[in-house]
Amino acid sequence: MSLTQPVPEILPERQKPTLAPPRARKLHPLPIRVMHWLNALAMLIMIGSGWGIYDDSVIFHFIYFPHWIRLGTWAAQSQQWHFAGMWLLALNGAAYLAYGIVTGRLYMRLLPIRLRDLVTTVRETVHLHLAHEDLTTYNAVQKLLYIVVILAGISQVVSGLAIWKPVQFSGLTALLGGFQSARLIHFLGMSVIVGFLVVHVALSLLVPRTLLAMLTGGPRVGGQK
Amino acid sequence: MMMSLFRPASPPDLAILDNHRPLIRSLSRRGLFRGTFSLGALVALTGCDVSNDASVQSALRAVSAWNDKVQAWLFDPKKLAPTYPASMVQKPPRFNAYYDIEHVKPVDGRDWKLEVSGRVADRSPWTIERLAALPQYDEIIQHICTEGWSYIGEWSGPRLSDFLDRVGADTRARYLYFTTADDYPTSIDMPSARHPQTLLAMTYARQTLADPFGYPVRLRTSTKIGYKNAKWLTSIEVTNEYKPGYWEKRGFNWFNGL
Amino acid sequence: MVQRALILALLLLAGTAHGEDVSALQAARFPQPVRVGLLPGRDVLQPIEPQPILGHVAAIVRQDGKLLFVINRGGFLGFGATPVAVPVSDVALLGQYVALMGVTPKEFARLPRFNPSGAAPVPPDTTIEVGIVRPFH
Repeated sequence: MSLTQPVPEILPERQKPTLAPPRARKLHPLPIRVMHWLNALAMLIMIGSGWGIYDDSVIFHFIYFPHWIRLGTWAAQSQQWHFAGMWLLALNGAAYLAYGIVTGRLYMRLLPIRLRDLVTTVRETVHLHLAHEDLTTYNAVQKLLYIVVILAGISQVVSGLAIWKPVQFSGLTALLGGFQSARLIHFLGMSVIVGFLVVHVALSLLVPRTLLAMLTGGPRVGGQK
Repeated sequence: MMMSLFRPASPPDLAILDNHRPLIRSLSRRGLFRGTFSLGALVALTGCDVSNDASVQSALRAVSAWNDKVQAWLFDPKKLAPTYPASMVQKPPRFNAYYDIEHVKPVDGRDWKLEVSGRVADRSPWTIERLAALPQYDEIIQHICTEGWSYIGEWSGPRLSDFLDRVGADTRARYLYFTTADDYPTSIDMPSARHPQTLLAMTYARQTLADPFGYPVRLRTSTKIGYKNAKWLTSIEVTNEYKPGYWEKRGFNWFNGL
Repeated sequence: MVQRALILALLLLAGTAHGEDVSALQAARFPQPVRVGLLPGRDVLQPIEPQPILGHVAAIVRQDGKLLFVINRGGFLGFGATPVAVPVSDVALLGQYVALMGVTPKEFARLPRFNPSGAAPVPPDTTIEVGIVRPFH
């Protein structure tokens, strides 16, 4: 590059005494990043301790979690973790949803989803055409996965309350089919979340820029979009 | 492409980017990220070391004590537990204890008495006959164990609240503390003790309680987890002193209301 | 015909009433009365955590004066199971389950196919006594 070449058009623009457009927000503003990682921690605590509680009296006799993936050396400890982690999960989750609704972020990022887009994206993903040049728009599969995990998280809180308070919230527990039925729903919700986690972690590792984005904020999302 | 004050006059040859790609790739794969997501780290997070740390343990117990307060606030003394038809009563009921069935020590009902102490007006002990003379209530409710299993059972006996009134208990006292023939103390809060479905149960499925199930008297609540419902009662104390029961001393939650 | 049935019923009841099938092990488990009709279909568990299922109760029968639990061992969704018999003193009740106590899983796997000759099913309204156990951890 020669220093004597004429300066391109862009510089005059910067020198214009007009109001600069406001700096666009990062893809993942700080509150989102904080809540994301708090949620990750909360989910690991709830799942690990939940497995410990499950093992104490299994629902399916062919499913038993080995001690080294459980959180809590035995039932009492697993329960302590579970009833502590629930506060982090619920409060952080509520804050996330509130933030997402108030800022409009939930709607902008996750809706709408068109079936056509979903089919195309699934096909591309299966062929490993992971298009991630633009981190700022979620493809249809992403949107669906995030909606599913949010709903599963809410389901876990609701079914968890039904298990924890089957008399005080007896109406809720009855709605879920009784205590044992609520327990089953709680287990199935966990399975959905674990399934999500496997996919989510795998994909974020396959496209490490997404991971970096959730740590440092990622590219800026312009007003033009 | 990122905007920068230092953007070159003309874009660099794309070949330069090719040279840098391996560096960028290696940056993102450095231990910084690997450590956060590896199975090793997950194991470290979920393994025994974290759980058994003393400060972690005391923090968890502090949260459990906080949960006691929350549960006490959630408890509605007027809310009755669901009841069920007699056809659903499990016969025989399910047995559990902190020891095996072979070690159950039956109580001789003929010289058994229920001792009464603490903040009460009348400390005279109660015989089976005296208890049986109180108004009897029958309930078919769900027993839920902290392990996760449950069953429908039928118990009858006098209401604990009637008993407390008869002995002139201080109903503003905070706790009821029970001792048992098998060294399995338990304590519950006064509001739960006065709940209409809290009984001093003497029968199961309309038959006298069998030896393994707490003969002659067991505590039967509808609003507490299974392990709070002590069997083979030997004494009741009305007190303002918090005394943890058998399983609470081992880390389980004290209030544990349903 | 009716008289014979009545005598048979009386003999059966007499047999259960005095616990002739109760071994010392069973007696130590505080045997509780249970209605026979409730038992078929119940899961039979191995008495270790997490209580794996070994089979399902098929029937309660009397054979050679002994009270037996006929259990459908193994199989999948009701297909391919082998009926085997264990004496009542080798099982215990765990809520809705039946725990296999006196027989190791290896011994259980080697039990011969149940031979029904001379065996009479116990009527469903009969009450028999079976020991109880607590959950296995």
